[in-house]
Amino acid sequence: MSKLLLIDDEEPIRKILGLYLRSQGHEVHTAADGQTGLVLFEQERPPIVLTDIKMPGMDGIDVLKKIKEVSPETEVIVITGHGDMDLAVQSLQLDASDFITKPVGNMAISVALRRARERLETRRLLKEYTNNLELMVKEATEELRKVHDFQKNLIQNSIDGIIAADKGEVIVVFNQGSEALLGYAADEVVGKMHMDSIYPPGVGETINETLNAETYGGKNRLVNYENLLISKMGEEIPVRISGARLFEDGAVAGIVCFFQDLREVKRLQQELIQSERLSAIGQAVAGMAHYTKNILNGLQGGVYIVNTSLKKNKPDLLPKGWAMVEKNVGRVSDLVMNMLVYSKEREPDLVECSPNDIAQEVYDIMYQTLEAKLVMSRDLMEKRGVQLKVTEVKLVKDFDLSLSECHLDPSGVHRCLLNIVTNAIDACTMKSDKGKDFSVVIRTRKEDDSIKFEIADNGIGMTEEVQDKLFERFFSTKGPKGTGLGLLVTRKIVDEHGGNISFESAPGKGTTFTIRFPCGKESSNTKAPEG
Amino acid sequence: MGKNILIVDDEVEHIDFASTVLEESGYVPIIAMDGNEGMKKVRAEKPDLILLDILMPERSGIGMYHELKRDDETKNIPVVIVTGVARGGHFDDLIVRQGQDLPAPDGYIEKPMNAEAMLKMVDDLVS
Repeated sequence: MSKLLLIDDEEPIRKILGLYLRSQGHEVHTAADGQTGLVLFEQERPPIVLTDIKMPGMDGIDVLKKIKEVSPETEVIVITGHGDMDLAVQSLQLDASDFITKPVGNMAISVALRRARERLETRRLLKEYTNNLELMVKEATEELRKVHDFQKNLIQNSIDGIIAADKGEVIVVFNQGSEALLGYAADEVVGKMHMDSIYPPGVGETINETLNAETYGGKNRLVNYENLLISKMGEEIPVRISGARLFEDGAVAGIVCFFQDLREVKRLQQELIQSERLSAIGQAVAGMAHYTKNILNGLQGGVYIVNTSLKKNKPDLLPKGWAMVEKNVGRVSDLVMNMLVYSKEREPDLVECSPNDIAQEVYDIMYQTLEAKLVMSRDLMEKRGVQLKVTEVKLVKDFDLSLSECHLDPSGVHRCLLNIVTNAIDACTMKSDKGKDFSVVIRTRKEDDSIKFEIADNGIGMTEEVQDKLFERFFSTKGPKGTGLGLLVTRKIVDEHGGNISFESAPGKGTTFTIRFPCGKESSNTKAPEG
Repeated sequence: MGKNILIVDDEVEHIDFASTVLEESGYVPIIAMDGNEGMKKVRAEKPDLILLDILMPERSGIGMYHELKRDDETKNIPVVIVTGVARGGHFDDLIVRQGQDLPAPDGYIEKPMNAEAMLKMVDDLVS
């Protein structure tokens, strides 16, 4: 099982013990005195040595000392005579593994050897473990170094600018991204410049305030916060900042910030806005072209009938053709006026005027249009002898006659009312159940310091989807018969007046639009201070 | 005696215009304001051509077209479809046929109609 060295001056003991130990499977070397024993020890290096204490010449204690000197891990078991307790204690103090007393019993020696082997094994494991531990520490150190290098590379090679400062706000990390962003070399900055010197005046304070607040990602953090940096050349650079204050044992240890260059993003945003604007213009042009073609067809139709009337000398056709021409000239005029209002910023031309007069004008125009249509159907029915089911829309005035004059832009208000009343009438005649009693009410009211116009119809009403898109550019439910400009222009005029527009609508029930204009008297005649 | 042209349309202005133009060119306009009335007039008056607006309420224009083309008595009457926006032959055919195995209409004309274009189409189809 293991290699043993047995040193004893008494030959019978060497023989008997040797026989026994060999029978237990050990390889046994024997020596008759200490000197020889040490020579054999050097040659064989047995892990376990059994030595007698009392020997002539070099005694067991000396053998123990020498062996422990050259090989501390060797297990030395001493054999003492009966009553040599002092020597036994002394040998244990000298790091002997164990002692057995003469006469040496097989049991005693087996137990001593087993303990020695166990100790050897424990020591081997411990050594192995220690070796492993060292290896592990080495590996971990290597890993740590790699991670550190990786992080350093990551920081260095990040496209984003990464800047860290110590608790005194002196910059300690300034990566390549920061160099590219700000135009400084790291050498000029690290250990020399303060965080404050990379911000335009005032921005540093703002950033510190933001760090102290909860606004962007919580206290002591910045998440996707946008502000400016200032470059070496003095250029202000828009950046998105993410950063955090660093803490060590509860105290501020520094700050680290990531800066994403937004110059390119801003440029792309600008381009996107531009291209969206162009595409909106494209759509608008296409819509307008179609609408204008419709008007042109109508005009040509009128001209065709006027020409027929003249060529064939049929004067009765003239009014019909002329009415078509007039109607389409009116449509061109409306279109151009709406486009003009839509296309430029303007101040409303406020004059003293009567809201009821404006409403009356619109009423008259729309009444005539509706009337003309009725006359046309009546004539047609008479002439062709057919029964036509024509949707009649009743236009109702509900004016507050006590309204006094106020400061409004009469042509702007006129346009608003005309657009909304036109829509209201279309809502009644457009694909709705014929035979229903349709009406459009034009209402004027005073409300606090405002003038309120209400246009209420009981036509088809609007679905929520339509309501959502109502004020979108060029949105229309009238197909080629609409420009999608009417409500847009109306809202623009109302906004320019400092008024507001709202509506209520339910499909199948109808729609009510309400426009409020500030009366404007207070603003033009500010009260003189009393006294 | 002039040829009979049935105008099926729900807009008084268009009926008035088309009937005037047709009449001045020697045709006899017949008028209907929806598909049901249109079919009655087809059976009663046996028109030589139909100007059919498909943008009438409840798609009755398309319904009427289908009825016309399925009936042996009426399937040979030329039909010109009047539409708000003509997008181009094939697309319009798809809309009019609605997936049915029916012949394509004889022509399309956009509303509001151009008088000369409409007359040329009618002249070509009824002569």
